[in-house]
Amino acid sequence: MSNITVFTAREIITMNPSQPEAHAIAVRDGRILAVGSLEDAAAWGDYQLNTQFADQVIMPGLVEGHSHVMQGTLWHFPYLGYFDRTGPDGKLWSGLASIDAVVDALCVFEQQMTNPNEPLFAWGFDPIYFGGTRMVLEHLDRVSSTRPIMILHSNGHLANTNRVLLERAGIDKDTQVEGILKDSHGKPTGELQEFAALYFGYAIAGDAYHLASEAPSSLWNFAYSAQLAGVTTATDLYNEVSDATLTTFQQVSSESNFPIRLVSALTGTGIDPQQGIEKLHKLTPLSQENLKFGIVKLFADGSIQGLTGRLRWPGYYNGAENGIWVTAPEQLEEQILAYHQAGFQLHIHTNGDEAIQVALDALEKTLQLHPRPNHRHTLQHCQMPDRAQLKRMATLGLCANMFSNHLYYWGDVHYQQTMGPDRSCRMDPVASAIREGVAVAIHSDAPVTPIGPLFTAWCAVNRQTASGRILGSSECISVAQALHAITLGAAYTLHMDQDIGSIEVGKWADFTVLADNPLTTDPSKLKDIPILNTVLGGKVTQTKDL
Amino acid sequence: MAKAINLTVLGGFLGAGKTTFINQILSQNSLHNLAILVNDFGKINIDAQLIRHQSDEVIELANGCICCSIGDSLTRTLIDLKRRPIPPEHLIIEASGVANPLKIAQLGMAGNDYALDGILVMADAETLEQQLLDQYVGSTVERQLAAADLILLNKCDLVSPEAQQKLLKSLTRQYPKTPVLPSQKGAMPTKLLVNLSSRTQSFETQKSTTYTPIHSAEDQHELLFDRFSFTSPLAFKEEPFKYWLQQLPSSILRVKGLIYLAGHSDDSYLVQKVGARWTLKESIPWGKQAAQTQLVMLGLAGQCDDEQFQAELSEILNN
Repeated sequence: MSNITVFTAREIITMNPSQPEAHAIAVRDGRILAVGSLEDAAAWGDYQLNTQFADQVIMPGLVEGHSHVMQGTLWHFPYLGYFDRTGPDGKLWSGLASIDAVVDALCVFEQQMTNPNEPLFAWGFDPIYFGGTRMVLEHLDRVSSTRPIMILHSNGHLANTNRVLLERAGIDKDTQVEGILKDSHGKPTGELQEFAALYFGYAIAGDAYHLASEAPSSLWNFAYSAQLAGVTTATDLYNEVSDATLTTFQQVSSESNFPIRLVSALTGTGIDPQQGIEKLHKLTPLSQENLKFGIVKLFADGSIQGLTGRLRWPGYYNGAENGIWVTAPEQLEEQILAYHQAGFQLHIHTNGDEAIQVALDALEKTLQLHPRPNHRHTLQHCQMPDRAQLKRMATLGLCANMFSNHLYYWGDVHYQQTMGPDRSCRMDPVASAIREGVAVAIHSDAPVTPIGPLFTAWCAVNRQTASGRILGSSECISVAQALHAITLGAAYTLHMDQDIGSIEVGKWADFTVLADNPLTTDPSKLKDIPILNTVLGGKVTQTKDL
Repeated sequence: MAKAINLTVLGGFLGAGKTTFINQILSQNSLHNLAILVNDFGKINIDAQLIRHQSDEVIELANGCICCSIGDSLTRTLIDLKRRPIPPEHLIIEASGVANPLKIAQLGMAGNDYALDGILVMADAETLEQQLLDQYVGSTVERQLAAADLILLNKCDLVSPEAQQKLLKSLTRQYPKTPVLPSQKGAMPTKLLVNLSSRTQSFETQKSTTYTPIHSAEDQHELLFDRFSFTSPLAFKEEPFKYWLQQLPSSILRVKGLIYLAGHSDDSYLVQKVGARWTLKESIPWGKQAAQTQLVMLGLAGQCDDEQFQAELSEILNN
């Protein structure tokens, strides 16, 4: 049997400017051997013809440059979000449009649970679309008055609980803690906000979640979610990489049916840079075809929708006080210098323009002291840069991986509350970044928003909020630019564009199979193009067994 | 139900001396059943002879104390700590240099797992003024100081006495209810931090009210403090006692003791005060021991009017 496989397709978008279109691809040893007509592909000798995509469109495998394996942990539990979301098994979880709908759905899950003492944990709850109505204890008491219930909001910083949980945690009307919300009669409503309050929820109802976070099934779930979204390379952009995690990553990613390549970035927050550097020196040589190390993830500020992003004057549109530093500017500078000098690549979480400024100052100083060509340090999220900052980024050789999904999911909140009508036009300004010469990618930050590069591309192309408002039409990019951002663009930020991101000879044979050609589809329908399959290293990936 | 773990949150901006302070506590070897959660585990430096066992994330000392790395998830670390076969009696959490310690401390203000003892915030005498003016971190440092029950103005050896006085004055003006304690090299008596009257300290049963100011120096740090103990077989009325607690001057750093409250002859009440923060709650039954109030106070040397305290307490008792 020949070791060459030739795939044919109705159309092939190669993303290779020298040869933008093709109809056949020959693959050998997991890599692309030939691209062109069937005749061109056949020139390398005996081959097996695979025509299963003959009526479909093949493009380079999509690259998710900012996501988290935690998405796979959450899929062990019921999803309660306002928007539809597809599970790792392909099941469509329909969005729940009211608190009653959430309660009804929870009742169904509750009835399926066999152990009467087991807490019910669920996630993705998103009440910001319910016109100000908040969930209270009575809602969740309708689900169970004997079993503790904790439902995590989509932002991960808030939760709701039922009465049993509060009782077990020892929380009552006498409790005086900022994050434990109370009604006008002084009784707790069951809503828990931020770290200290959430502790009580996790202490009673979080065991299953913590257990799942260490299970190999989390990584499998994550990989299948990515696969269904057409992703062939995905990042886990913040991980301590404990010995147990490393073993799981190595074992799972080397399984022959693992459907993605995983890029893991080491957490650089809360760890001495020298220790982090030692760890990266240990991890980087362990990289293999489906698992890559060598990136450190640093943090500057919080998030803009959480009002914790650091903004320059005039600050938040609703007058909220400035956000927080996750890492103090001087400490961030030390971290940047240390990891840069050690030769590793930096991905730095920056949302607000003040956080971007601090990161740019530190990076510029570092690069003056220790110039290094082709470092590709990347500002992650990079939601509020102005043009001067983008010009600096271009000069310094920095990349931007922007959070375009925000435009849809929180765009209305940014317009009305956080940034206002003017500055929200420049949120995630991908067009300006391209104009100023910054290498760009766009991302989902799953589980914060669902993984799905085509949807992310649709956001960057249309800049439409959930309510239908267009935020800054002059920052819209073309479909071709968006496709670049979710393939070669993202691959570039991961130092992987040598191997993935386009269909050209020598690269890994990673493809995404679509029902239609995005370049000739109405741009407003980009997100609706069916994703049919992925191919990883020349092998058609298998979906999760149901 | 298991006893709540006493919680101290240690805050302060980068360079304030938190790690030095923690290393000192662990090296003093005088505390038992203490756990400390730290951010930068690599900087913990303890005499090897004191260590019983050490892994990547936990150091266990021979005296039963443990020091753990906070790691990825503080929540997870806290849940695990509470579930240890023998949970610690006291926990110190080192907040990160940019964290608002109040956000962590709230954990000890609700529920049954942790009981907040106090928030100690360290400040660097040499750089504090500059930090407060910094366009990026000024508000962060301000929020930390505002959250403090006790401010430790550290590195006073690095500034002139005049500069130290000026800083103390401006901090006191800004945070009038919060005691500010000058310090060098993070030195502070651990009893101020953790346990003013540890369980092992025995009070002899007193037949009458006694009041003992102690100006003796147990070690060099003690020179900074005046210490008072007060015992009485008489019962305190709850409201006047609470009022007295609240109005104590900020020169009183700490109050701790068992209170005999009128109408509660079976159970003792535990009082704890750190700076302006105080709690009074039901504690162990008196049992065979006769009910008696046993109170210890620690204040800034030379700034406490012990006669006044004595008069005040006696007045409450005799009314």
